[in-house]
Amino acid sequence: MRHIIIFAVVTTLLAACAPDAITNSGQQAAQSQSEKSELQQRREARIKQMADNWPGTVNLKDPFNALDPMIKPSSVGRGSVFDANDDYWGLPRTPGYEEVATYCASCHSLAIVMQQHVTPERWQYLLTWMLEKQNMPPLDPEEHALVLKYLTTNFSSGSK
Amino acid sequence: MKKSKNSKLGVSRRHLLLAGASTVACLSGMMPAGFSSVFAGEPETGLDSEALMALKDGLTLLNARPVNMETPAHLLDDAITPAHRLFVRNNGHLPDYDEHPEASWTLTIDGEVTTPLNLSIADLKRDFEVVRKQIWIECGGNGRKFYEPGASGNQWSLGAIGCPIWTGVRLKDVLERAGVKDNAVYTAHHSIDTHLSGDPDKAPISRGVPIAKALDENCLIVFEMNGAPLPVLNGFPLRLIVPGWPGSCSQKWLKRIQIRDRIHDGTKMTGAAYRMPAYPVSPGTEVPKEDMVIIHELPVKSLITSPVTGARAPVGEPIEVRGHAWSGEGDVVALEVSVDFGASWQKATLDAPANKYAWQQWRADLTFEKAGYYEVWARATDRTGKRQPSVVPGWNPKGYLNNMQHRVAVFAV
Repeated sequence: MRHIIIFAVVTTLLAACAPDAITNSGQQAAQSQSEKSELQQRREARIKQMADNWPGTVNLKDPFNALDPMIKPSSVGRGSVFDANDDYWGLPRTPGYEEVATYCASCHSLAIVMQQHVTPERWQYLLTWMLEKQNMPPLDPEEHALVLKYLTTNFSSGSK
Repeated sequence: MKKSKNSKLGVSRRHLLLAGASTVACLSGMMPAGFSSVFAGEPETGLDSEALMALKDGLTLLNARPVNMETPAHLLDDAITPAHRLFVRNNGHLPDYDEHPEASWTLTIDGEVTTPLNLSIADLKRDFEVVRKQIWIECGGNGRKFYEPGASGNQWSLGAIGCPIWTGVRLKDVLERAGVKDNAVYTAHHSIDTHLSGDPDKAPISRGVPIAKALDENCLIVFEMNGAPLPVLNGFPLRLIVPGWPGSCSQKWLKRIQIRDRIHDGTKMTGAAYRMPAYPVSPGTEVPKEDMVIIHELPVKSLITSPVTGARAPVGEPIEVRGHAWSGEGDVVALEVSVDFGASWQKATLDAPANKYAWQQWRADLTFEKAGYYEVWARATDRTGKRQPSVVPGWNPKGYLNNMQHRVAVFAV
């Protein structure tokens, strides 16, 4: 019995503190207590649903964009996702993907390429660095332009 | 087209598949049958990369070739990081242990010294005082992922950090035995991991530190981690530990320390690697090489290791929030937490470090009086008075030194 009284007091206090009790007219504030507790119940259900909707574990297909308060919503789902089961590891099928698959993956993982969101200037630098310092097989001018365009289009800052 | 190019380059489909990335969880059971075989075998050494990576329980694989893995924050809860939870940051292929077995492993000390040394691991253990210290090690690029525009390299989020116990000898004692000459300026660290292109004349990484840092009594040459041989992915059988500085200074698979009369110019010492702009730059600025300065101490930082982000807490009942804090500048003196986006902060209990350069444990009881969504933020202050920023700090071309406050989501239901 004492518990029920405490519950009723707490519920009344909570209802009195709710923003609508402050802003609404006296008539609404005088609404029956049962309606208030129904609103409270709906709110509690919504909070539980919000918690249930949170992806508690990292999305295995997208380990670089796990939903997390540290990550800007704008960066979630950006770019393409590495897919080990795809013939081209999930590379977007825009012109140049075969060249990138061939030339870039001969030494290192494409995962490192697909993680990037660097500026186009940085891609230009990185491609030159690979060719001049990291033993990347030489590209003819046409291939060079194609690869650079592919990287800056698909994996640059702000690219989608 | 792809096939013809591959054969032109002499690159096999299997080799290309080694481009793989996934999470380790995928390796153990979630992959379609036959898939996991693509991870088998380092091209040069025949080491079973898949088995080595599987030893790292629950880590996120950023890159399989070379192997780079980070630890989710909630899996770093242990005060002493176990081997299976320590991140991996590799630049090349693993060493060929057939050619360089542990039994005949030697460490050479040469360059600007009066007596060059050639020491076996047994010599190190016999001729020098063996010490045990708990020392944190962190990749300079930990937190790179949060820079905008992006910075090139592995997109580390939070988990390129760990703090095991290391057993070895003081670098200082070994250098003093060799007799460092007056003209010595810098160390140069050399190892035998191999370049990704297979070129034997290229080193994947070779960094060094100023002589004054090398003579710090906390710099160690280690052969054990948590009382066991070093994991292969973390430098078996011998590595350096240079506390407080980017992990890259702590060369793995250590074979030679050369003393130089100038700043070392090995791989990843020059250009933008492990360097910061000499002046603050606006995001996305291309900074000339001559304006890039070598990083020394890493900044003050902390992690929330419990609860895991997205956890639920009961309304009106206290829950324990805990984690670690560390600073390259020295001890952390305060840790505060906020549940209102930094509007107010409350002090956490902070333990003293086990020894200098061990990370420090902290904990706080938090009570959420009202149901809903909360973020717990943690902020450490080090002995120099420096504190972690709430936002990503100064943008830099390679995305180093991000010590922004860690945040986790908590639902009070």
